[in-house]
Amino acid sequence: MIDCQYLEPTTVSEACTLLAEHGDDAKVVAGGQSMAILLRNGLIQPSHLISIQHVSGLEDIVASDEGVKIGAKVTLDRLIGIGETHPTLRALDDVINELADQQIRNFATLGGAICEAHPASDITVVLSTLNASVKLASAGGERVVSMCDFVTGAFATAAQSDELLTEVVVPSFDLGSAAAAHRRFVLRAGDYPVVGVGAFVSLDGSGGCQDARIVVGNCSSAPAHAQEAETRLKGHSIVGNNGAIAEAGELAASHVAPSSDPMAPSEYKIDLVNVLTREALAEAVARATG
Amino acid sequence: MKYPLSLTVNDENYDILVEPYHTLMEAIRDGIGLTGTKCACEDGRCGTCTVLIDGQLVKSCLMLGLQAKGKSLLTIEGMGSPDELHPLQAAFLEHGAVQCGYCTPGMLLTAKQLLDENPNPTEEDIRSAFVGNLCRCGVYTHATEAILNVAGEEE
Repeated sequence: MIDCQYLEPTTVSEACTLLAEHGDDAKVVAGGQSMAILLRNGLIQPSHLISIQHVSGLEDIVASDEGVKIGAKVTLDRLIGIGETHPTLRALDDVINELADQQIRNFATLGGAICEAHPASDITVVLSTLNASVKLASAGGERVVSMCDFVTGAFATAAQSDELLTEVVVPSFDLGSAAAAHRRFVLRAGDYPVVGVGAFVSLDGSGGCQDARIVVGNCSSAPAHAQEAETRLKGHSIVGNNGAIAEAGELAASHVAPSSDPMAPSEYKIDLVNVLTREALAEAVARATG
Repeated sequence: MKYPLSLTVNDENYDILVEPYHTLMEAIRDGIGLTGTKCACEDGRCGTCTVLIDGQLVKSCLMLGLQAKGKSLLTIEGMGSPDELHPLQAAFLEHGAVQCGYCTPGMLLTAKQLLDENPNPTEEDIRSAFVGNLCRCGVYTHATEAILNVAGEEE
């Protein structure tokens, strides 16, 4: 059996000092909803568990000029229906309201879900779609990393071993002309999706697409931008143009190479990318024009 | 190294020793000896280890024991006794909402929490509440009837 110490800092600064001291051999525990499984199955054997349960200041949701800032310890349960209070986060409702189950949402934290970096995570996909970034604190200071750069692979992130994720920032955008949506396909309620796709569009005054972001989940080791589909849409007519949306779906699907797994064969996932990209885009356009 | 863990379970105080990597489920079953909280999948899918911690549902296999320090838990042993069943327990029996019975403790705690928060749930509310509780015997219909019945009686 592993020899493991349990540390309970009460401030971010204390947590960072402990991380700097124990680094690679330490793991941060927030809600424990993924960590408990990894520990129990011996998949990780840290010498130190640093519980941030009693670290204060990581549980706020604040709207500012920068956007909406969400503390790392905000539970998924608290994010249910967040789009009603903070309309720029409406795409999160597409994800969180059906994510896992009540028991898990009660304790799973947003920061924990991001740092787990599960390749099928809808949360990292939708946050990448919203162009969110994360704040990482360490004894040396603070840095901001965009969500797209933060998840570097399956269960791998850009966080250094002495860094603590403290906050997620979702930038503002003009609700009158831009919107995001997320669509997912699940086989069993509460499970990870077979495929998830997030879409963000911002429109010009004449129904054209100024900017587009399409992010595909669970078809590679980390959320991936469907760049060809994004390029196809930018600068072109999109409102009422089902042809353009269909083409974007085809383009997104033709550039993924998911592996087959017990949930679905590769070809099926590729079809899903096409369908879900179209659905997410159509919904994003509807929201932006609605 | 083992750490002291003090917590309240079903209104009784317990002081036990646990390793940091021990789950709350292990603390309840092995540390305290209350085995009504069942252990099945151990990766958070089945919900049979569901307990209430400070009034919130949790799958006890997904939380470390030490995270429950100072908290107050309700397990199935605290819900009712053979002589004095909780109304939900009685309704589950009456409606045949128990087959093999392994998921029952978790389902009952989920049902209790649902009624505590929403005394008049719709069938849809009940189905949503059970997303985190798997029953392979398929007693969902009977359990739903049982819960609707209890909600109706308390109205």
